[in-house]
Amino acid sequence: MKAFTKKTIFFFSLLYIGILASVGLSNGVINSKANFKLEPNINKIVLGNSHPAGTFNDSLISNFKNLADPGDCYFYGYLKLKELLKQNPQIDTVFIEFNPKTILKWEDSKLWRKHQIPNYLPFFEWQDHYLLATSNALAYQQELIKGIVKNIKRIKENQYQYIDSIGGFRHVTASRIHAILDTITYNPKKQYKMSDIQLSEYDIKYLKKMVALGKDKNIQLIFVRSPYHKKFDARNYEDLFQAYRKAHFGTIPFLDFKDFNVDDLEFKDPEHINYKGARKFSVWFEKQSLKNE
Amino acid sequence: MLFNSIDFAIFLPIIFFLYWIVTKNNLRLQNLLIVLASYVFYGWWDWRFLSLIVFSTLVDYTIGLSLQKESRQIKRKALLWTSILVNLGFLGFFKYYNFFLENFITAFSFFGHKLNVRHLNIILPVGISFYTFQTLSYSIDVYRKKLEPTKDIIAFAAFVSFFPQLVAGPIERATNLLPQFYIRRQFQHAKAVDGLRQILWGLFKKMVIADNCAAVVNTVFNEPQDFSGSTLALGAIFFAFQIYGDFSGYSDIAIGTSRLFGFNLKQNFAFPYFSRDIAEFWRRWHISLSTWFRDYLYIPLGGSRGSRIKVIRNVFIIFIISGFWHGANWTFIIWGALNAIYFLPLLLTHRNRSHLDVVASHSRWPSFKSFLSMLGTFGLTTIAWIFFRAENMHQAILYIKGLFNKSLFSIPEIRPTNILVLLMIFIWIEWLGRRDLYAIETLGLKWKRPLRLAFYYIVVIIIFLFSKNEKTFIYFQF
Repeated sequence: MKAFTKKTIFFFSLLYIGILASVGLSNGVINSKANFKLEPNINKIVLGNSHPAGTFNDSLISNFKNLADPGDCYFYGYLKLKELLKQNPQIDTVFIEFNPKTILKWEDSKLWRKHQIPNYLPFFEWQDHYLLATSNALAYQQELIKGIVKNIKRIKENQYQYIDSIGGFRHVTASRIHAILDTITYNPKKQYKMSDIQLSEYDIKYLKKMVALGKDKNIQLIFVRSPYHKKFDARNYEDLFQAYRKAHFGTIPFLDFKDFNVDDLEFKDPEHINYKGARKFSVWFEKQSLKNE
Repeated sequence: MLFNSIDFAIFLPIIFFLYWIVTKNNLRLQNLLIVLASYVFYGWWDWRFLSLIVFSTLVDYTIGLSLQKESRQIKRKALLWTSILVNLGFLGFFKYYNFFLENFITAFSFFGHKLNVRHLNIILPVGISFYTFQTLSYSIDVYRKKLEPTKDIIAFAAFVSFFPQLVAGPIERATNLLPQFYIRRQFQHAKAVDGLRQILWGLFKKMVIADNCAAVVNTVFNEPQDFSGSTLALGAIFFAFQIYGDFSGYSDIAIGTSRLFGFNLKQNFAFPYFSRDIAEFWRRWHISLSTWFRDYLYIPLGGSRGSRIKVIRNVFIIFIISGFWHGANWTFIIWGALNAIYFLPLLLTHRNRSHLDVVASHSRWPSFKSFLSMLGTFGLTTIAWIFFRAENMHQAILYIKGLFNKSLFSIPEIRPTNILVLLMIFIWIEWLGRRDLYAIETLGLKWKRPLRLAFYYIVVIIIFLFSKNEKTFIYFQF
């Protein structure tokens, strides 16, 4: 019994020591070499999920970089922002997508989005490890191993450039809006109450961390809401979203483009605009920016 | 509680140490700990259904003792039927009520009568098909006087609820498992190490093979009309490996866990895809269920004795009931019937026992004839698996139609190279270990320790690297 216990403990200890050492070493190498540098003229960035990724065409907006990534939640937004601010002191304004769906419980599951943990593993803080390990220990261990493999591949290929793999403008050509509108039933009068929904428990904390980081670095943080269709069901969360925003992020400027004038054909689906909508919006956004400067 | 969950990874060492350190000198305490651990294990899923297990335990325990005291045949028969009715009554209600109701409604509406009967929203208790059969085997064996009924209620409760095999088998016979609860278990290093090795292989089968195949299988089976025949063939082959990896993986973990606690469970899968005909396949696939049906249904019906018609009837009954045991759906019944059709020619021509030994038992490679036979058998079972996997008959027929057309010889739309490589490695390791109880039972035992450790670490790392997020076992639903 003693020998069995000893051997089993030895086996697992060696396994976990090996994993931790590999994570630590490879993270260290990548951390010291990771390149998040933007062009020197870029002083504004936008972060968030597929909404801003398909909305802000950064080739039409001066000094601006779209680093939103479809499916991104605030957890990864924070990690991205932290590294970007470290290496780009010229950044003075950060736009962050904030809409009713980003405050819901569903966002917490996006922490486990495919490939994200291995991609961002070198930039995790202890709290990030703790959060993932305690919410799904088995999946966390799996992701750690995948992270080691990803790190080793990066080191082997001398690939430390991150800017191209953390987001960018998404040129969406397709439009399924008419087919979708034919099938959806939207009740404009319906408004969910707090008791009807579950709010994000973990991910939203990272939006707060982004706000704190922005303040700490003296960066202008602005929440934006990308345009969406008048029949998009996120409108049914409007009252509670506004109440939540005022209660938790009342001091953060909020640019609300949900009702930006976009034709049906400029939508991909009720919650995303396509490249035509993005062009219209980005040209307008550029003009407004120039006016304000 | 799932074997491939972190909950179980914490639960198992706790119970293991309590068992071998706290209760090691006391048989009753050992058994009591097993009962409590098993109830926690089962209650983790839904504690309300524990009452079913407890009730079933009490009924069969009492019936067992009464059968011993009772000498009048008519009363003994009544006692046996009470056990059968109670156990199958629960199973029938929870598993088949809505199925029969729907089919009655359909049958009546066919004759112009509309029945307005309410469906019940019934949750199927996990593992009910397994523990029901296990307790039934006890009552039947006591009735047949093959087994002395136990007076030890704790030992009996431990036998019924033994957590490693409670929810998905192997379905243990009372004659094999119950006596093991009468003897105080003593820790055996070699047995425990072997148990861990089998658990490791079971996890590999489930988390690497089954779960990776499942991703492709789900895509293909969800929309079969969107894929070419070759992709549908690939989907069906992947399902064959998914169901094997999933279920035999569970059995390996169950058997391995039992060995950690000093128990020996029967082998449930003996490399069935290396079978050279369907009869051999059924001697190697889900052995505990096949032999249960053989001993408690097929043989009492007359087995292969009697007229040709009777033999055909018996074969169809056993295969169809076996299919129906898996689920209340016509797809399972057709799956069973199809296997009966495959099996009958062998039985009727007395060739059903031509392959009793393992393929290539004395050589490294199979003969060309054996190889072709294995491929043919695998092909037949794979076609039958389509019915097993399909949601309904419509989907199964759509799948079969899509499979057998010109596009069968086109390049598949889905080419999951990673999974194919993993499958090749898996088949190779299974082939190497085909003479053993599980594939890696003896693999590497003669290697030097660092090399052996490296092999186990590689398996663990592959499990981590290739496993999908935690998923339930397919056989939990049966």
